[in-house]
Amino acid sequence: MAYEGNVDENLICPICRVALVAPVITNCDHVFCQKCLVQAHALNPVCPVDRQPLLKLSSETRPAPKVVANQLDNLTVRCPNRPRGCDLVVARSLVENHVSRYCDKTLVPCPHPSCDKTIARKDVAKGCLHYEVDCEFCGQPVQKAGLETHQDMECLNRKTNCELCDWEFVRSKQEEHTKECPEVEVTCRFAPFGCNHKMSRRRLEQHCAGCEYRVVGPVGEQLAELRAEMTALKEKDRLKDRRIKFLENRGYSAPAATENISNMNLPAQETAPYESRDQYFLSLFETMESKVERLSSALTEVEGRHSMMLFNETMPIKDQLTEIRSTLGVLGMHVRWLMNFRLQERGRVLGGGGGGTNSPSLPGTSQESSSDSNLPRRLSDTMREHPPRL
Amino acid sequence: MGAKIPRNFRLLEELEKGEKGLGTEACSFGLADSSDMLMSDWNGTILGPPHSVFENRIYGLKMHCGEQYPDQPPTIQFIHKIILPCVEEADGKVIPSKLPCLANWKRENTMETILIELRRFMASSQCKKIPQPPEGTTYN
Amino acid sequence: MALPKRIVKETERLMSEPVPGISAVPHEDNLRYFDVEIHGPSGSPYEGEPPDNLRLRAANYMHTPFRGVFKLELFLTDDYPMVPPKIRFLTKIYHPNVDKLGRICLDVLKNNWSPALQIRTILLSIQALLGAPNPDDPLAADVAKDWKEDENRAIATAKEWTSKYAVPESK
Repeated sequence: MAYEGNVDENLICPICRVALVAPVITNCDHVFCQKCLVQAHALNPVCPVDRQPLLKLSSETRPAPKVVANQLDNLTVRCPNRPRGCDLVVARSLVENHVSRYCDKTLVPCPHPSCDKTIARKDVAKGCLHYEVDCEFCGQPVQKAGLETHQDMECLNRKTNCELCDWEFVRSKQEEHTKECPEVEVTCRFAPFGCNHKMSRRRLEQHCAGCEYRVVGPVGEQLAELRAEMTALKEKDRLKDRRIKFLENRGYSAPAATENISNMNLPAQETAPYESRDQYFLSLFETMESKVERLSSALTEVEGRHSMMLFNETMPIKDQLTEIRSTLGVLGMHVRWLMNFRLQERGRVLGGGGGGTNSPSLPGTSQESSSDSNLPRRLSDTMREHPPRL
Repeated sequence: MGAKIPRNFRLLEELEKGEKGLGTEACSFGLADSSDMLMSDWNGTILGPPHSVFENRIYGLKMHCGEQYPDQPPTIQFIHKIILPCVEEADGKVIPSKLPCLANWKRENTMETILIELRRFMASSQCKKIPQPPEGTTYN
Repeated sequence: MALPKRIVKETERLMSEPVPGISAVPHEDNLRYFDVEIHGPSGSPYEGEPPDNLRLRAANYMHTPFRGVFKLELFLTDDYPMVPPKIRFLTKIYHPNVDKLGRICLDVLKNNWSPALQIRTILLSIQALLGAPNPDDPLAADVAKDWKEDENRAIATAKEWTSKYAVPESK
């Protein structure tokens, strides 16, 4: 029984050293708990204080005066169920009644007939709670009857209050809370720029508003942002570079030889990250070489294609030319035959006076025609002298 | 479990019992040095059990209670030569693993417990016929 | 087993209001087992004498009289306070009522025990016994005999033993 405050020395039993319970007084005027005196008397039948013989307890002791009993009854005690959660402080005379009838933390026998354990009175109506359940917060198996105590006192996942800010949080989340607790000491937001101030998180805003580094702050932030952007871009650039190189290597190997594609691709992929500058130049050189090779092959191809085209185009021209030439020969033969025919007719007219109707005009025409015939002749001559070049 | 009696008071209790001769008459023990404040070294005697090769012989023993007694058992050594399965032949030391009360030592066991058990061991059928060295010879 | 309230209270009081010249400290692993130190009462052969001036000066400087310090051990059995505590000297002492093993012959530790007595009263009784040896009710017969035959020599021996054994540990 825990007494609230100090108990008057006169109300303390000399044997058990706590406030008297059912006090009895001896004929020599010493007061003891009835139980203590009976025990002591059994060992030695004298008054424990002054060693006066106490032959028979019943005749040599009597209950202590009412005034003592009343004082004892007025002592305040804590409910013995305090460890189980009852915080009641009550006059000693009433505590027994409280515990045996009202205190819902009192342990009573489990209502289950085959269970010999005890349970708090408030849980009696719930039936036998002496089975294991998993704590809903931490998952550990706990006896149902002790679940509440477990969650109140032991469970790590149960809510608790922060020592600094009174904020309620789950015990296992302590660390997380510390990250946001307004009372936890933090460094100024401008610490990277040189501010050494430390304050509770709650005051952080206030401090930051007046921090002499706040001017530097935004600039610095922008700087950091830009820097980050730059590194990102650099990285991107590098990637693109590599990609281009890779594609270039692939580009030349594809038309060169189909069966070699895989072989050609391999080095291209392997060289992607150049190990040294020399290697880089070497690969560059190789690239160039392959380019030159490709160009030369392309050149021969173009040349061939050109000659083919020329050939194909000149062939019909040649054919047409010979055709024209043969037609010209035929025409010449015709002309000569006609000329000869005319000349013979003129000779007959001149010699025999043959058909005089158109004779005066005939020599003229013959001359004219001969001169005319010269023209195509000359034309064909020019054609012969200047044949179209093939 | 009640109060755990400390070594010295436990030994004083045992001493009183031994001095007053409250134990069985066949075994007795006492402090080797009556002014030894640490009460470490004890002498014990066992009267050979009847109807055995040990009959009428008195065996002297030395017992040593260390700092950890009674949490740890004492060490026991015969002064007089004896041949028993639980006793080292060379020096007469009792082999703890071969005497049940030493092997499974409990805080409640006393030196008297050990002496009585040794005597019972001597009287057991497996031991009472073992030929023994001449009476009175010691290990030195 | 929970420690009875009475023992808790007695221990608390021994710590908070120690008796002058007496200290009793329970063992951490056994709260019924106490290490006790009793200073020999002044004017008795157990008072102790400084072995040299230097020590005396040091003792004066520390405002602690140099005394014989006797170590005892005390154990409260399960039946305490219905039975007396068990107590014995650990320091060798030449006294007719203390035997070679440090056991004490004192009526209040035997038949005259009363449950109303406490650790502190018992220790005071022992301190008083040092100041008033009683060779008529001896425990150490040889010492009592010496005491009766030649008290002066016995007192001298007691002093000698005190300065030899009852020396406070250097701290």
